[in-house]
Amino acid sequence: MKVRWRVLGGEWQETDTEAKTVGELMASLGLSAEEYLPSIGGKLVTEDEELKEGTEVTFIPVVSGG
Amino acid sequence: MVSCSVCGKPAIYSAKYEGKAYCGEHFLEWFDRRVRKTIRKYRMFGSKEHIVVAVSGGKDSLAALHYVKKLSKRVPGWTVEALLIDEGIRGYRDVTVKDFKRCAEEWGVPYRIVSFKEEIGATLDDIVKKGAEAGLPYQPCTYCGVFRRYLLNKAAREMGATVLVTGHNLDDEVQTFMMNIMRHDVERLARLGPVTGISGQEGFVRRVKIFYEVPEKEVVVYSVLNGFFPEFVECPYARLGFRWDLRHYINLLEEKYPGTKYMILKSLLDIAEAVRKGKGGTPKRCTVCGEPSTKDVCRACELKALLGIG
Ligand code: SF4
Ligand SMILES: [Zn+2]
Repeated sequence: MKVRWRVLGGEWQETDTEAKTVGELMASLGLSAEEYLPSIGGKLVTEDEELKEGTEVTFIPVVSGG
Repeated sequence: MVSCSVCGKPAIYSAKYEGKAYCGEHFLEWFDRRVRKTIRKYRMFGSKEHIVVAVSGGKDSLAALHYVKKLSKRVPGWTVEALLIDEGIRGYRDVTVKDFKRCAEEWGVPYRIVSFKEEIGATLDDIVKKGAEAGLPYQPCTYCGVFRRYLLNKAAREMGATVLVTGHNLDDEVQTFMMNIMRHDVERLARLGPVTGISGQEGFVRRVKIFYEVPEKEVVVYSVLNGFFPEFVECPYARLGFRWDLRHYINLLEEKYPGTKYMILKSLLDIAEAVRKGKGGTPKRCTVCGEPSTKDVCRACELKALLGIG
C-alpha cells in the first residue's frame, strides 16, 4: 500500500509500506513516538490510526532545537 | 481507533504511561487540571503577583505564556508581562522573535526584549567565535545558558517581577538532571526543582516551572490544539550539545518503558532535596557585577573575563 508522509516543514515522500497503522509506519521509518506526533488532514491522530491507500501523514516534531 | 477515556469520541492523543487516551476537548481539560495541580502543590503563585514569563518564541515558552495569560484572567491580582532574551543567533532567533511578537500582540501581552549584544557586550555568534579563538572548552549552549539565566533574572527584577515563569517541561528537567549526574555537577543538581533559585536572597527573582510535570510531547499537543504551534526552526548550535544526544536516549527508554521520565523526576526531587540539606551553598553577591551568585564571582562574569568581553 502506498502512503504519503512528511515531517512538518519538510518535503512530502511516498512510501510503499506494509504498515497497517500510523504507529507501524513510524516504526518502519525509524521515527520515535516520543519525538514525533502524527497528524492527518491537519488533525492529530493516535498511533493506532489505520492507514489506507493514499493516506497523507504529517509528523510534527516534538523536539525543538533551542 | 482509540477512543477518549472520558467521552468515547475518537482520541487524538494517548498517554501510555497512565493507560488513557483523550479527544481534543478532554486533553485540554486534563492538561489544565494537571498544570493547576502542579501550581498548587508547589505554591507557585500568590493572590497578588506581577508575573514575568521568559519567552524565546519556541513552543514551550509560547505555551507557558498562553497558559499563564489565560489563567490570569481569573485572578484579579495578577499582571502578566513577557521577557525575551535575544542571544544573537543569526537565522534562528530572528525567526522565533517574529513568532513571539505575533502571539504577544494577539494575546495582548506587553513585553520587553533584552539582547546579549547590549547587555553582555557580544552576540552569541561572536561569543562562540571568541571562545574558539581563546581555546575555551565550552559548548555554545554553555555560554548561552549562563548569560541567558543571568539576564533573565536581572531584567525580570528591573521589570518589577514578583515571579518569573519559564517554559521548562518534564523532559527538560529530566535531561538536565541526567546531564548533571554524568558531569558530576552535584552543586547544580541541588538547584533543580519546580521552584528554583538562590531562594530568599535579595536580588533574586523566584523562578517557577509550571510545566514541570508535563512531558514535552503534551506541550506540543497543547500548542497545536490552541493553534499557535510555531514555524519549525532549529538553533544552529543545538546538535552540538550533550543534551541533543541524551534526550534521544531518554526518549528511547520512555518509548519502551512508559513512565521512565516520571520515575527519574521523582528520584531527582528526592536527591536534590537530600543534597541541599547536606551542602547548602550560602548565597552571596558577585563581587564584580553585584548580581546574586553562589560564588564570589558569578559564572557570567567569569566567562566574560575568559572571553575578554563586556
Ligand atoms: S540550542 Fe544551545 S545555543 Fe541554541 S538557543 Fe538553545 S541553549 Fe542556546
Ligand atoms: Zn473526550
